[in-house]
Amino acid sequence: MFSTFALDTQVIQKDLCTGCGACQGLCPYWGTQDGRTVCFFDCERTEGRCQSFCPRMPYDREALRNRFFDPADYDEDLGPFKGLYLVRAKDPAVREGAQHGGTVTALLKLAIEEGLIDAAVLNRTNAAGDPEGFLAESAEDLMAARGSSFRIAPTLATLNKALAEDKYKKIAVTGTACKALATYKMLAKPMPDRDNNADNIALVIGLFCGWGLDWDGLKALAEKYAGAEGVAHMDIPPSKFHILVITTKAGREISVDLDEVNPLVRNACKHCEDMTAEFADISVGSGRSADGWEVDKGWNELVVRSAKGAALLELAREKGVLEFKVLPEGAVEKLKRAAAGKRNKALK
Amino acid sequence: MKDTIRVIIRHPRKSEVLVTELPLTTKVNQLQQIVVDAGYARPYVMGFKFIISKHLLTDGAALANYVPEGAEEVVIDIFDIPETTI
Repeated sequence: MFSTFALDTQVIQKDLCTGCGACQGLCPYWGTQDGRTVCFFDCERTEGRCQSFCPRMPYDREALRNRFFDPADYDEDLGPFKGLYLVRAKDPAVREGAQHGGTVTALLKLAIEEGLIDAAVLNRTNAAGDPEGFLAESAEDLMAARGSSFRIAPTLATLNKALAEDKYKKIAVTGTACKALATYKMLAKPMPDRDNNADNIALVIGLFCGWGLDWDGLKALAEKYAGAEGVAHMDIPPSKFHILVITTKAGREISVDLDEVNPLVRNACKHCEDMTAEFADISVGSGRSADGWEVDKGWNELVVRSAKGAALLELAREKGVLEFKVLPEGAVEKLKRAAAGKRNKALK
Repeated sequence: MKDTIRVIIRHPRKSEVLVTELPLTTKVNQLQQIVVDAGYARPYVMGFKFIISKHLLTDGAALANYVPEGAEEVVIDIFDIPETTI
């Protein structure tokens, strides 16, 4: 079966595509329009990388996991799990403008400065207000890409192009579960003779994710509530609040009922069963402790999944890049319940 | 795995369909002759184009290139152009 046809009919037309970009940047056949993956025309390849890398195409999850992670670390709810931490960037300048504690930026900055990576693929918001993939080549670049857009950008198209260029030999990838999984599918080199320099992927940082929103829908929502003030930051407090908080550039906080946001959730995300981005060296999300949301929103929960991830966290501790807070009792169980909740919802 | 598949061919301006069993190796550019031989449509000098799931089929490709493994049936639409003869 032709790969573009398989991917289009089995993923795109079935509305299962998250728009991660794993199929893009490899050939002229695929692209993105307003967050939607588009097949411009068919190619006649039956074993395309687009099809092999797509996180929504069938694969053997257990085999892929066991190939890259220690099976002894496997947890049914959280995937590969070496430990949970409550952390934030020590540098206030890194925390400022970050989604929560600035942990991802701090870790990537450290990794670049220590030569563990030489570039990082992540998202940033462009001048039009849309999220886009971005290749950060310096600590300054990383600082420009802080925060979350709540939309899935085709970040992995940027990764594919960077890998093809072969300029950087140690690239870090940050992304939600779909992107992290696709990155490990790349690392598995399903086509060794056309692996697109997958060995240049040096580190994967996964991001906790509940869902991504429709690009146009969220823009309309932001326009409705923030208007000319523009959006500086968005956040979702714990589920009991049932709101999306929009902070305008003028500093005004607006609470939007999640009932108005939920219809904007991409259909593909409703079928995702991985909240904590299980395929990653380290996964990072918002903090949860007994101190309440006002304190927690400046912290991150961090899951270490691999030896590489553990080494990076230890280095961050040694160098004083991160601050650590004692985990509240029951934190792991709480995270497990949240992860299981998403999985059960997706499997319904 | 079966090496043939049940094919349902639809014409843009006909309510009835043509149902036939074809080898998966059947080339797209053989479909017009099959349609004509079955009396379902008259020959079209430029050659018909065919569509599966919104994809215009490549003339030299085989049906197997557009059919998932294990599929028992496929619907093929004749591309609707004004010159299509009935």
